[in-house]
Amino acid sequence: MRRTSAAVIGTVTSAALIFAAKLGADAVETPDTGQTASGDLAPAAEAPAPASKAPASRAPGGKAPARRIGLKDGVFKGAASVNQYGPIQVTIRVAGGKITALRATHATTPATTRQVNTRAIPVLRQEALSAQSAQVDTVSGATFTSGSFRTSLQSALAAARR
Amino acid sequence: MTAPLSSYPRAAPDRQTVPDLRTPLDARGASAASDLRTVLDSRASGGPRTEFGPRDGFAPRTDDPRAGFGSRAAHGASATADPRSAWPPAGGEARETEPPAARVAGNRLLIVLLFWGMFATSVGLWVFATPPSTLSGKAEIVTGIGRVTGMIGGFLLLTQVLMMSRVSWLETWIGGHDLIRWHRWIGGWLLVSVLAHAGYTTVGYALTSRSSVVDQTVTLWTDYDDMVGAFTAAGIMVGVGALAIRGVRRRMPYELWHWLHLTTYAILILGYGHQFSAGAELSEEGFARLYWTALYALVISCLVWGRVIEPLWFNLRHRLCVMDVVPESDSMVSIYVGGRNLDRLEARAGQYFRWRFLGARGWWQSHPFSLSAAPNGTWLRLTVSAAGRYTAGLGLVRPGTRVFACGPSGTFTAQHRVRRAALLIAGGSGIAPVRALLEELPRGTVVVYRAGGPADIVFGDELRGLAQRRGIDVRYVLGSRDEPGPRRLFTPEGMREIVPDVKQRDVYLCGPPGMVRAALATLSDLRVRRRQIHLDPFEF
Repeated sequence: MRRTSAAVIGTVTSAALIFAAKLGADAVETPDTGQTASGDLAPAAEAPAPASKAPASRAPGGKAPARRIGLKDGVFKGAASVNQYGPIQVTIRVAGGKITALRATHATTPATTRQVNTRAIPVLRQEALSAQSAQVDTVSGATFTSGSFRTSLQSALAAARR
Repeated sequence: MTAPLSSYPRAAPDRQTVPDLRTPLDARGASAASDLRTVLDSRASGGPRTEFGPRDGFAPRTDDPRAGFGSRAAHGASATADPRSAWPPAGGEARETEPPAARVAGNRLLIVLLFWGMFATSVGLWVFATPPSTLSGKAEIVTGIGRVTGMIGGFLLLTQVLMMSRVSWLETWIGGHDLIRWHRWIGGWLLVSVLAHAGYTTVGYALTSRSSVVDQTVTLWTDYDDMVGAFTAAGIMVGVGALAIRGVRRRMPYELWHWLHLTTYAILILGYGHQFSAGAELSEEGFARLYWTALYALVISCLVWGRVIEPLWFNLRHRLCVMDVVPESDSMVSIYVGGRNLDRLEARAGQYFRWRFLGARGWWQSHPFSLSAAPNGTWLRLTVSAAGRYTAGLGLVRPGTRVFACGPSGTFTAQHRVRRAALLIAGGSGIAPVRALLEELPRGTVVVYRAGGPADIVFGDELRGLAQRRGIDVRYVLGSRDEPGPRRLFTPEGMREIVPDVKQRDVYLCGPPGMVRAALATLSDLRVRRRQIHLDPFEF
């Protein structure tokens, strides 16, 4: 092979590969939520079901934040919130105007993400259950998971208020 | 300064009988020794020797058979002309015809470009998937370094295996010499990047999960798929890397080193799983995973092709066996190998095969030896110097012994020269590929044959024959390295005395490491460009 053809072929191939890597990375950054697996994080929660048509009730809740705006009883699924490590989707069960159970699905691959999520989500869940709102503190080392958790929980709460 | 350099005699031109190298072996073999003796005797008696001083060194002799050929005659150079003006090799023709390497010069460039392109792509997989904003904290940065070094390590590992796959396009495009050199060089970087990957990733994960490094290591082993294999692979790599340190490796037998080094294939298998199960870039569908899988597929198929299919095909087609074993000197022996379809053998002078003599001592070993004669359709010849136990045993190989060969390999060929003219410097057993190359190089080629003494010279008669038939200038530089002649050879002045136009020539070097080092230093002083210099396949 001559030098010129080698230079052209080598450069073009390399550039094409790098360009494809860029395109591939851009495509991954906006994934659909389909590939996420759900973690069995909330043993109290039931399998996510379509939002039930529970009767509206304005039961006075025990906790102040929850009392401010009444929640309908039922199971409500928040919109998935995607961060760069994958989506988080929160499903809540409301009974008597209170959040009684909470479960979050999250990405389980790669292993780092799983490790971060499996550590952070139980903490977030506990906080949310006790606060009865989406005002939960960020778990350190899990900034993105915490943010997505809040967003998704907010949308689940919004669904419960409707 | 004016002392005659009596140790640079030209090829003795006194013998007119040129043995035909392609016909009966025994006739040649029998005549070789006596011919050589005549040459040396005549040289010793000062007969055909040409003595020359440093300045007027290239005065052609009237009785020199080469006086009538080539540029010297064409340019009408007189006996007293300054060598620099009288010796433009092949004159204007050199510029008209393009040098042969133009056709193959791009091969190596392509490989190098693709290597860096793929290297950049591998790093790019991480770069493009990691927006700078995510590298906000200490833990993220440490993990990030762990991930990018992981991509680099994974890529370099595949490169390492590919370079050792013996696949023919790499062996003839890059050549075994550079493949080994690159393999050694990249091996160091591979070890560094894998260790950095393991260390940074573990520490980064530990920082993220607020656990200790020890706890995190345990978590990695217990909770993560394929991670035990990955740690084992890293351990093997450290072990092999430690053994590869020159001082350590010299102390152990080559066989042991070789077998231990083969365990590195386990690294490929053990390290594979965690790249896909835990690798952030590769765990999801998309270009990254496709690209990485394709790299693995390429390397594995080259490995199978180069290590299994090509050798089997080659040996089934040619069915090589030893025809004759001829001693060339006290320590060197030529083995003639015959076989089927040798006219279809696509080997060139200067290339080498990896030979395995079945049924001889050490049949399980394969050793690289250059062809010492250009392939001629009837036989192949290799010439070995009895340097070790194995090579000494080769002198006892019986005719009829089956031979399993792999090859050809190497870029030490006439085809790879970037100029038309050539200078060949051979030392000791390094004469073997040089002798073969002479059959494919043009007239005006100069050979400098460095040997310890007259008794160490091999192919004396063949060189003389080639000198006459093909117009090749053979100079012997005899003596130990401390004697004035050899010392003068490897100085810019001494080199220019023999070859005034050395900068316009390709230089082929083959010989002991010390000689090659000295020659490289001299050539570098003479500002001969590196791409004009060709090193033999075994001079590591």
